[in-house]
Amino acid sequence: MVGEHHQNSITKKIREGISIILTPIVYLSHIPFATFDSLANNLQDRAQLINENATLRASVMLLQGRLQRLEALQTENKELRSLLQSSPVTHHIKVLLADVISLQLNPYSQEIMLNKGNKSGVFVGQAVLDAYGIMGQVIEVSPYMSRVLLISDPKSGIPIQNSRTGLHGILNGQEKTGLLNWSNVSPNADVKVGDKLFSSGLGGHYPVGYPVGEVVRVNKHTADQFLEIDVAPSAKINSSEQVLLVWSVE
Amino acid sequence: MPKGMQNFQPQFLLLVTLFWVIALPQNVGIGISWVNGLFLDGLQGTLLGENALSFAILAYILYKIQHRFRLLSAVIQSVSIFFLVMLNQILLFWLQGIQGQYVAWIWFFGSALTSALLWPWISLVLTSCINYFRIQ
Repeated sequence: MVGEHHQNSITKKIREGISIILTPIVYLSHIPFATFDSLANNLQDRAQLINENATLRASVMLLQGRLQRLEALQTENKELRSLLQSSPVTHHIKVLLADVISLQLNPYSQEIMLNKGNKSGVFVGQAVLDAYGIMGQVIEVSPYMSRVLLISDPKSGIPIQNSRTGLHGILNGQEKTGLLNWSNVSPNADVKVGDKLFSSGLGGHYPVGYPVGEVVRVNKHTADQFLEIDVAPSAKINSSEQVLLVWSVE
Repeated sequence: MPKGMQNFQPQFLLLVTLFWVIALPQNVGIGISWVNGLFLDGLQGTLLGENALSFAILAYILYKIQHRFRLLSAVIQSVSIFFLVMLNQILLFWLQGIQGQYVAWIWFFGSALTSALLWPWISLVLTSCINYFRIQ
């Protein structure tokens, strides 16, 4: 136990071996949930499916429209940067869709399991997103499974930047509330409720410029040296069934 | 699992392991319990050896009192299981506390309670397994 607490390489190998042995068991335990989901899909009636199809088409149109503008802005940004003779920021990323395995064994930590492992190129420290923002990072990989530490876990910290003021900071997970905690902000800093926070990419784990959360509460105690700021995560941390694994390509 | 219910999650693997320690003490002992605990550690992502240690300790206690335990009525057996699972929870929370993790100590009664309520059913199902497969 002490060895593992100090990140011994032998215990790392033992853990990897155990998770390889356990992979089929975990996949088996996922089967009932997966069949229930597919049953629910099959039992939908025609009108409902047509309706859903229409809304999906509409949302694809909207997103395509926004993407066109984004591409134009991207080229403009590149030109402006070359005019300023500053180094271009690379935003090329590769993504992979992974399913969340519906197995929550440890009720006291905020972790999820994914059905992709290092056979698909997943690595420890990789960022995991959903459609709305950053969810967490990979902390353990075996050939066909990986474990993700969510940003709402108290062990997790994520470097962020306020989109309105550019203020940097680190968000930590909080116990029980499901909110994030922005600590060590000086009392005269400009932070308001509703500020959107993006990942700053400092530290190298998380990619730059993805939404992380929104400020929901700013507590100013005159006695305290720092502000107490609560942030609601943008990602749907507890209800996502599919997530994106991100590689940044140079 | 819905929020709030996760504190009442029964310790299935522990119960099944303890049943085999009672039923087949010559085959399943402290060693196999320890290995089971190690697998649980791997699955839960907890510190390797945490559950293993507590599984081994519980198996030892039950191994020592097995003759008396078998003579107890079902209700008293459940009550003993309640206290054994409590001991397991206390050991786990103690070990997690040393690592500096957050411990919701008030809630570990819940898991012990559901485990105790499950014990008669688990022992019923596994006893019928023993009879059906004629395990010696």
